[in-house]
Amino acid sequence: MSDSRFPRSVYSVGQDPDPRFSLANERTFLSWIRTSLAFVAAGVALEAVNLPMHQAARITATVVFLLLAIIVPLYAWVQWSRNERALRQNKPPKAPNMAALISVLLFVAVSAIGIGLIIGVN
Amino acid sequence: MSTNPAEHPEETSNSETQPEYAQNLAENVYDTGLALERTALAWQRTVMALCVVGALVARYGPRMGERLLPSSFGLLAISASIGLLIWVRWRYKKTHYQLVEHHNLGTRDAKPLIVVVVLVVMSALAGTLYALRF
Repeated sequence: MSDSRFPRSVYSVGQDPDPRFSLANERTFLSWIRTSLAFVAAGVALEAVNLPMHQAARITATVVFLLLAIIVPLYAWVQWSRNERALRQNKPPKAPNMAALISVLLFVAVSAIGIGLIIGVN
Repeated sequence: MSTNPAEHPEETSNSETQPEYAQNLAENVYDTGLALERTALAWQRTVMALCVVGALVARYGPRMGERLLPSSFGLLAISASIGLLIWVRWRYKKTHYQLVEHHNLGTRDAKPLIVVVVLVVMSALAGTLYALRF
């Protein structure tokens, strides 16, 4: 059964874990995906809505949001694979090693919005 | 007294369709934590969010001029979302049957996950094209 499943790099190792663990891993993946979709929406909305804010700050926030929107789904995939492999080998799940970077980038974007709104239109 | 059909498989063994316990999903869950049900709902939320983002990209993409690419990506995301919503229900039923009958996930794998990753990255790129005025 494990031979035909994708990706082989995951399903070729270990044994099937408790189905509930795999489903939890899948839900975590989907949570990251929704986070990424929120970043897309934030990035597009900043450009679409004509906010009275400093232009450089707005562009900074938009670029960071959209950068996050591209990074996060790829990271979600990598993290899902690592965790599914760990589950199959009866090992503890991997820590979200990029959470700090994502938090820092999000902090930058939100700060840019705040500062841009305070400075206003230049 | 028990009316749970799962405890009487002999009553449904002659049926050519799925056993009754697989048809009557609401009363025959695999585990009391409702892991599969929560996962199906997570898929639905995600797909609906993808549809909204697709609409956002399709709506604002063309505003900058002849920006066919962002709006095409948006429309693709919307179309895919509609298909995925139907597929989520189908996959839930399939996996539910597999779990109740065989206590495993069967052939359920990560192909849909990579499809969603591709759709979301494409939407993000379309948003980038729009935001950077390409």
